[in-house]
Amino acid sequence: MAVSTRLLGSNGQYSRYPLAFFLDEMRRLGLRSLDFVPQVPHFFCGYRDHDDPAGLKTALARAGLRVAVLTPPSYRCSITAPAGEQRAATLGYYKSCIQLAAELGCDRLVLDAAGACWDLKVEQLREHAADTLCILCDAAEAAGVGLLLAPAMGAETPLIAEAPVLNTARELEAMLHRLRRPGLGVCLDTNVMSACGDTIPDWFDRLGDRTGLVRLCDGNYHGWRAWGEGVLPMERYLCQLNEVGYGGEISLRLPGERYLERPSYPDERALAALCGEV
Amino acid sequence: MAGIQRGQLVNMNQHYRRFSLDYFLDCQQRLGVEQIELWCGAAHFWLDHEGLGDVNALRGKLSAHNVRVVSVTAPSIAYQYQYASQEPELLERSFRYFSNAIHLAAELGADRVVVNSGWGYCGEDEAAMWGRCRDHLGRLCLAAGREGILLVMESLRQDESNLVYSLERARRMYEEIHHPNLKMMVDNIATGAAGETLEDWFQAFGDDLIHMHFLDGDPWLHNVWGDGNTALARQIQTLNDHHFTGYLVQEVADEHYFTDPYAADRRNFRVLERFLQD
Repeated sequence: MAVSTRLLGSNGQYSRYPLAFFLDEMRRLGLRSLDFVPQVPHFFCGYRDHDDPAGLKTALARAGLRVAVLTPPSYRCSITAPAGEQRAATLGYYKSCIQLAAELGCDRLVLDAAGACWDLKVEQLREHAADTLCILCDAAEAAGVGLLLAPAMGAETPLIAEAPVLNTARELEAMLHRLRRPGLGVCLDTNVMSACGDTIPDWFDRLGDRTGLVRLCDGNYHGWRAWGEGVLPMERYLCQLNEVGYGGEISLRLPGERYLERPSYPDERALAALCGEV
Repeated sequence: MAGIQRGQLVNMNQHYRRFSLDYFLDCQQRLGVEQIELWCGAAHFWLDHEGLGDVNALRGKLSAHNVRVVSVTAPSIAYQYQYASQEPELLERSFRYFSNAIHLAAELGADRVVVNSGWGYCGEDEAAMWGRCRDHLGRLCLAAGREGILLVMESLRQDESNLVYSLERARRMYEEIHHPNLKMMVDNIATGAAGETLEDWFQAFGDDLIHMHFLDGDPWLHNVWGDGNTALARQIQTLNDHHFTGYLVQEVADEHYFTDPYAADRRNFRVLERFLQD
């Protein structure tokens, strides 16, 4: 059965393998579009510029793959950083990544609030994020790239917590409302959504028309898991996505490092469940 | 009774990664900790292949909190750089990054920088990845020699690296690099996971074993003392038997401690201070 072009593969878990291996695996699995992570050793993004993407573009074209969405690792950056060195680097990094997205012909970039300092007041963190996102929206709009704000893991997942702010659908909705930028949407990660106590119907009530990508991933309070190996009702989630009328792309990207040695395993699990359903 | 000197106890800022540098330093001052191994991660201190953060500002903060840096660690798993970077351009950037860490150590008056072997691709030719790591560490030894800095190499766990993950492989790398600025250290989580003892490492390296990441392993996790399964008095007796006067760095790297690192420090030093002899 042909794999739907709505499904996006990702190199996130393939960081112990060469780019060529990852691209071969995508072809083997029948995936044609990517939620690409510009991470070493596959591609280098610094805090001021990035590698020439010509080689990457050639390799993608040869493999018959397109980058639909770009998800830069946050590395040392955080959109919640106060004015200063880290914020300057964060702006430089994401502007460079926005440019890379445009160079790859990809129209969306996903980012989140990871890397926050938990000793700062939450209102300060939200203000810093708003300031940074505002500047990045300008750069993204000029480049024809949309920004998708994904929820971050919060205090209720202490082992994998990323930020005390921008965790829930309510908070993301408030940020979109605060910034009022048409080029800023959201990315639904079903594991973060679940850990933060949201549901798919609630999410789409609040953010349905601003949801530019769904990461349909299983997981638990310790991290992301291959389909069927976490604690989430994945088949129900898939039905609910259909019920709310979501017709956009579904990314198979799993954050974390759980499958680095056998990265195609979660892809195979997800495809076995999704082929014929999406 | 076996014991340790106060001057051997060194804390680290890695487990404060979710907090600001100011918060970390305030906590160290409250604890009476005066020596640290500086983990150059976000958001504490900026380090990349192009340069360093504001060293003068860092010196000022350290001095204001009566804290001195005795060793430096440049993160090599979380970010874009590692010691056996697989692609030539990435390896060159890694060299510049780690060279900047060596320079930072010299600027701060520390005499050592912690290094490891990094890792090659899964399934990569052993000789190719081994040689790349050895040659890179050799270049870094030359850079360290020019700055008057020692490199101290730790082994990694086998799930972290396919290069130096055992005493036998550590000895081989040490002998092949054969440089006076390369010394050795025990990370007793990595050595414990490999089934090795402190005695094994003292036998292998003698006086060139000058530094330790000294934690309570179970044996896999970087626990504070009291949370693992290590017989502390016996470990200290081994240190005393070999007249070890190097630093015992508390690299509390397990995620369980990231939510409240100050509580982890209090519990940890409460255990260690019972063995102080001065």
